[in-house]
Amino acid sequence: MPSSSEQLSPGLFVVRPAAASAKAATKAAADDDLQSRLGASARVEALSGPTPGWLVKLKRAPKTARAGWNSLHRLLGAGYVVLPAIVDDAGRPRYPTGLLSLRFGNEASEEALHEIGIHYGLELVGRTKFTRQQALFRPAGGSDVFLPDVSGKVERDDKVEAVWFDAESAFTRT
Amino acid sequence: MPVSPIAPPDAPVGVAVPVPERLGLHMADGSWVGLQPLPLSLEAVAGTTVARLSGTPVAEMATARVMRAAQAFFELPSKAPAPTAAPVVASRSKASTRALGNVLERKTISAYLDAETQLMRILYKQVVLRFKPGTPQTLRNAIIRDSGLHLFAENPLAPGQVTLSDDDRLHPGEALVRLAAQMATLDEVAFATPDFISQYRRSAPAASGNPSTKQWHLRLVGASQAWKLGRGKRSVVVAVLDDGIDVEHPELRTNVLRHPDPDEPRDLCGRDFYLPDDDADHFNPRPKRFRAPFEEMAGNDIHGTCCAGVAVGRGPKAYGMAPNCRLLPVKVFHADDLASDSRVADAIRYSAQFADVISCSWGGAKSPDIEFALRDARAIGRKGRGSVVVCASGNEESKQVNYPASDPNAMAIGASTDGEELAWYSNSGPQLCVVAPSNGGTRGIFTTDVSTQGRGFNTGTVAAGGTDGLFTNDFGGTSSATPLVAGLCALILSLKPDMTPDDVRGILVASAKKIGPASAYKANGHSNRFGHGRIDAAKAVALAKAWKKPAG
Repeated sequence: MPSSSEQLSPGLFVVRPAAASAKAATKAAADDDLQSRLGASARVEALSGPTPGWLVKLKRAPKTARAGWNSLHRLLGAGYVVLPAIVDDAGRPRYPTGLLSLRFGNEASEEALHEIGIHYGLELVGRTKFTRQQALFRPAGGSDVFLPDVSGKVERDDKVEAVWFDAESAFTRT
Repeated sequence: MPVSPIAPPDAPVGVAVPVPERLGLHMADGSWVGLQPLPLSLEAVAGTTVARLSGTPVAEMATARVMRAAQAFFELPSKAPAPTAAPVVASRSKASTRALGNVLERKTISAYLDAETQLMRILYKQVVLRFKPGTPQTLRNAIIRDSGLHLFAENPLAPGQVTLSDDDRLHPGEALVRLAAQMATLDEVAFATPDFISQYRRSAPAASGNPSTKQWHLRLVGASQAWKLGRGKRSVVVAVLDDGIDVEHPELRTNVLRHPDPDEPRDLCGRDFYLPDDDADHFNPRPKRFRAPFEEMAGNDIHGTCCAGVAVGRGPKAYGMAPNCRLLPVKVFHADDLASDSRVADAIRYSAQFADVISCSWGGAKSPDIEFALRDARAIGRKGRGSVVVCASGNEESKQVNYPASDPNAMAIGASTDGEELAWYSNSGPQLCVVAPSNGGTRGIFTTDVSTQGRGFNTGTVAAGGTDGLFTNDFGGTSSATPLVAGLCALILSLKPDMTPDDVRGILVASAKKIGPASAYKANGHSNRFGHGRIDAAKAVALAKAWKKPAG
């Protein structure tokens, strides 16, 4: 779940190719595919970060992020993962990668990571390299999962100190 | 340039043996120095022999010098003709190369990385051993006999010290290291160590001059006065997290921390966290992204090299605030591309393992990952004392300090000018700690610039800092103020390595000079615009010198 000072954007979404999808074999093909599926309902812009993805701005913003997600998911199908963008308290957007970061109070054992993955329908992507207290997970349900639903459940787990969307964002060299 | 490979880079000449237990040397003072086996290959290029580790150069020596060492150790006759004139130099190089190739084909070489100095040590078949005074000759003979080594020579300058040789090759490779370590534990032995061919690093002290008028920012904060108490210790490291650092720059390269991570032999001089760990370029922190116009920051990795110079440039043209401290280059951005919060957080945690001060001349959206990483840096950095993290307040003329400068585990740094005013762009806010001189007045900051021709803020004009393009005279922003403070923190920690980040902050605050209108400061001495004032390096190091660790 985003931290308390962050909001899910109802009209700004990140779309990333589903891992198993062949739709994003080439960027140009994916651009065309996305645009043709979304038609005039949204503006599509390729994201520049290390994870392939597009920023989709719905021309008519729905009331909630879930409503926007539902409509985009319906339009795009299983080939793409739809993720609501996050906006911090200063209005700066962050673009989820589709992974969840979990932080534990203490070093988490392999068994604990495995158990938590099974319990919440998550696949372990890997431990965070320089701390044994964190690990990255991916929803096992693929594109059918609304990520805030999973993070909301994990957040209530006593074993988990914090959970947040792994994200990319713009950094300004000052 | 002709290349005469002795061994292809991907076919190491050396022997890399799995290490079942720790390998190292017992020193005479009882300490232990770890040795890490290296897969080594040597390649001669036009008279220079380059030692390569996993395809990346780790040391360069004149081939003729390597040959002399090889001849001495492998008892080879010299095949190289004496140098007489320039054309012969080339043929000598080829002859040396061929002869060295013969050596390497016939012999195995075991190379190690010294865990303490991070220098390469190549093993030969001899052990140097010193007996403790009073050890009877019969016992000495028995120890030598039991080792299976032969007495090669007695050292006439050091009574009791002998060189033993493994002529029968009973202890090849690291077995000889282990044998020496075992012999060193004997009651009768003062020390025993393999006789290595070692890489030596000339200490190359920073230039000893004072900043020129171009570096007005150093003069303004009293750098010359501060340097009377030292220009920083080599053991103190400043990590600069940015868009890449030109580690070959002539005024940075000797300060670059080599082999920062002893557990990762590919980590030669820092990392690129924008790229995944398994990317071939992950261990290359140099600037990579360039596009025209090359002197503009947009689209170009030209920011980090300037920041690094402000913190730890060695001079004599562009001094950093701590010219003798070392630099850990950490690339986190590729120009303006979006960057992953988790990779930036990884970079902070990595830096905290190996650096005393972490300098971040950038800002972005709030991120729980970065927040936790800053907390971790405070907890794990400097063996638990905490790494000092300094971050730019931002250039948006905003009343809000950027993130992560606003994080409680970082120090927010603003910018002042050569006129001792607040730089018009410098963000303000309650988190602001201090300000430091930067552009925004009449002059910019003179510092190192990307050395690749035609790249960098100065692409090669006198007006921009010199026709060689190695320096720029117009760096600035809170980006420049931040590494200036990072360098000052490094000077402080050089004097008092026991200080915590709070102690360092206390010194900066107590020594800062109040600039701007007195009305800008509250009763507690803080101003949202100036923080606690403009840094004063001379006063800060004087206070640090007098500082005593609180009892208990």
